[in-house]
Amino acid sequence: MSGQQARTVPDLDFNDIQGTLLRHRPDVYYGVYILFRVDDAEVLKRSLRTVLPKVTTAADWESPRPFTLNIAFTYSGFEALGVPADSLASFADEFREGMAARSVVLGDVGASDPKHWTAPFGGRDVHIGVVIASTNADGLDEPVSIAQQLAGATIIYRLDAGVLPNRREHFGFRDGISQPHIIGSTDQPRPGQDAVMPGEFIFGYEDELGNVAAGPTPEVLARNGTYLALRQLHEDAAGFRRYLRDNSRSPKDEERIAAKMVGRWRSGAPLALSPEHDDPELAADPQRNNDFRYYDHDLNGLRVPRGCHIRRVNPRDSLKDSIVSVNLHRVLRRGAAYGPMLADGVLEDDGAERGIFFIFLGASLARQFEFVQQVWMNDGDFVGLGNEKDPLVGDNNGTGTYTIPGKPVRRRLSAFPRFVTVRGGEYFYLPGIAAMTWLTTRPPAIEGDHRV
Amino acid sequence: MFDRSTYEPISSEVTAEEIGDWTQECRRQTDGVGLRVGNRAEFTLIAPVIQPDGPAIFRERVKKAQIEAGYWEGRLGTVHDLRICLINDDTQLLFAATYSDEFKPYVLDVIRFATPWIDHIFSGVAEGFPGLESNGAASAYIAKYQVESDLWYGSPNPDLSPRDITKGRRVAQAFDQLLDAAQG
Repeated sequence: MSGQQARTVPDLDFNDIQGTLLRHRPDVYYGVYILFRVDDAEVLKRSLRTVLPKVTTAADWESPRPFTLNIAFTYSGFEALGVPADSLASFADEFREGMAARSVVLGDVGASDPKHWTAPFGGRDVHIGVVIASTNADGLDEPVSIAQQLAGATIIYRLDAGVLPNRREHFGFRDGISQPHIIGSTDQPRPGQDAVMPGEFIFGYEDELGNVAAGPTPEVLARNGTYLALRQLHEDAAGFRRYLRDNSRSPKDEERIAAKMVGRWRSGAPLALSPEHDDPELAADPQRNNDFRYYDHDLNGLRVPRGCHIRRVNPRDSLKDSIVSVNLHRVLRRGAAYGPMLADGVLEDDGAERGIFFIFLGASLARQFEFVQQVWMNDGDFVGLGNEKDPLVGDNNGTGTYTIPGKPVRRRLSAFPRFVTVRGGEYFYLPGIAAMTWLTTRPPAIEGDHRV
Repeated sequence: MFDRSTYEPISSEVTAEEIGDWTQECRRQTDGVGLRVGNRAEFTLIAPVIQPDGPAIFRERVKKAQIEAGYWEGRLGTVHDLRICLINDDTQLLFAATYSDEFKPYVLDVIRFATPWIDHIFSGVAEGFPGLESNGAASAYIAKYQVESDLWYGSPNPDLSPRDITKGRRVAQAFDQLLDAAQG
């Protein structure tokens, strides 16, 4: 179904779409995430009006300032801003419930249970999120001061993120290589990148089902907007290193197991193209490092295990024999590392808070972000792996297994521990510029009106 | 709920210990209506039938639907069994299935795939059935008429999906062949 037949390339409204939706972060990046609680809706709306011209659109991204700045709202944020009741009711159920309420679906249990989340996550106080990125650390001052111009609201959380010295995430892998290509965006699709209709990620355009999905109402609120799931994920870098050492036969074997868990070598070189050893040159070549599929040459996962991280979050063509259409379940990912690197060779946790601040974007939290979490990451049935979970980021608890197919026999790792713990998260809506203008020009809410 | 030390079985011939060896813990689907044991769940829907023509149309349509049931349900890969019958003097249609895995996340994929077969059975038969293509309306229709079982038994091996069972049988056959070859 997907990408095969010629489809009309839609005209995307780059001036109205927030920039982060169409562009992913550069390789070298610095970011600041700020969460606000709205105290005075009218004061906030007035200040938001003055900030709006500074919000980065997809058009601005073509001629960037030294930074980008994007703004998103939670359901309780829309409530606080006095969005009318019929409009509030038009948002998707899972968005209205909030991420914490979806914990069982998402596999946020055990150490990741919302009851352990860092405040203010999981409560109803997070109303507005501001996402700032820059290619250099100095470039952050101006957007942060712009964000601070939001009045009538209190900053209740701030997290600074940035590229690590080795340009990898804390487990030691280069990340962010594979993203869907949005048809109609100005990017050129790279080899291996699947083309997906823009309606999967932006309201107001045709999606993979051939429909223009019903977003929130009124239409101005839906158009060029999308849902955004934000997650702060703690990475147990020391635990990951220990597990590799304890379950391998040699340092070389350690690297092999690590690659088999992820589906890429640490450099980013895909196992599909370089099954026996790392290949930094391949990893560095954007024309080659994502140019692979599974069905014809690796259906059984001898090269890239069916349960490994990258084959779960994006099974590419490997589910062709099933009824699942992979393109209905794609997400855009925007990850940024935070916290200090664990020093080389250290196997014991140093107590520092480190991990990835993740953003997932898409027009349906339920059939994209939540589906990937529930069906592909935290279950194994979709590829006949029973209840095996994603070895790297799955909700493991020390009892599970991880199967590495091999000839003559497979290798099975057991007692799989949790390497990633959710510190908190929220569901947001990332509106278009016109939608935010609409928000700021709404008349004051009648007290109690939004609680109807 | 069940506690071996205090439980009093229905029959005095059976001990709480024996019940405990067989009982299965039943819960709701993770996100929606339907009971679940292990990885297996039930889907039950009771919908009104269009009168007076619905029952006759259904009886005609069901002939082909039966022939193709293996294709449409088998290819889904998660359905263990399904029954559809007219009940209550042809006034209602009962649709009851046992399947592995979650239901809600897969709704859209199932609808995309099985629309022709389901629509063949339901259109002109079930009152208010909007057709599966109309995604929002179809979900609302299901929500309106789905009922949750009051009691459900999910087989002795509720964690096995249809694919697991197929694979298990293939492995057992291969093992038998290996033994045969070793003895031959």
